Amino acid sequence: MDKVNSASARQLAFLALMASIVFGIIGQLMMKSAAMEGAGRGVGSLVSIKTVAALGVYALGVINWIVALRNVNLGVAYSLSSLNYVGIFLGSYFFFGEAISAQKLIGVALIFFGVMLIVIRSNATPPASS
Amino acid sequence: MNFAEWAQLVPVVVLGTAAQLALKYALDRGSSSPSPLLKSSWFWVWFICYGFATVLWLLALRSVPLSQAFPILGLQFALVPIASRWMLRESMFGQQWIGVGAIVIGVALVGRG
Repeated sequence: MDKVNSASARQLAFLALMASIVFGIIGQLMMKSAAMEGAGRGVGSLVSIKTVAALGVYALGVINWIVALRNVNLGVAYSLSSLNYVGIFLGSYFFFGEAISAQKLIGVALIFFGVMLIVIRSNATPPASS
Repeated sequence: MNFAEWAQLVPVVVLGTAAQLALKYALDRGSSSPSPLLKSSWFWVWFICYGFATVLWLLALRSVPLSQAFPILGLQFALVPIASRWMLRESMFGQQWIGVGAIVIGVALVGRG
């Protein structure tokens, strides 16, 4: 419980946070790639090595996210998770040739802003007691 | 995005929200040790909702561009506080309603592309 320990715990938590973002982005890109392979066929065609691998990578992201949240401030964690949007936009553009319009960018910015408003409880607005 | 694509993505968000609430029920009513959690029926509601959401998500990704589908998942951040207010009697503060509005407009913009 000394200072050195808590400092390294924080560093580990940040490492987990970055890992969760990287795994999350790669996992989603892999899911998209796996999903497109079975397009036009039955639901059963979703079951493939590629899908399992994608879900595995995604699960690593979820586990790291839970570990990170134990030691990282919620506001910091969600602020950094905006990197998910950046990574997924870049990946969608480069790997799948998806168009990135100004309208999409404004929409994503609004969604991120909304998520932050919901997740971060500002001290200026205490919850109304009922 | 066309109607069929919305009809695939919206259930992902709704099932995801149901899963979150079920997990909250399971954790609130169980003790802290993991074994009773597995015996909680709410835990299995979470598991099934999450499983269905994952399958629907993969089906949606067959046609919906990832750069549209992924941001739309953010709609769950708008639904969870509303559902918690309704079903768990949690209170929502003013700032959160603005957040819900921002997400809904953002999702509409992303969906239009």
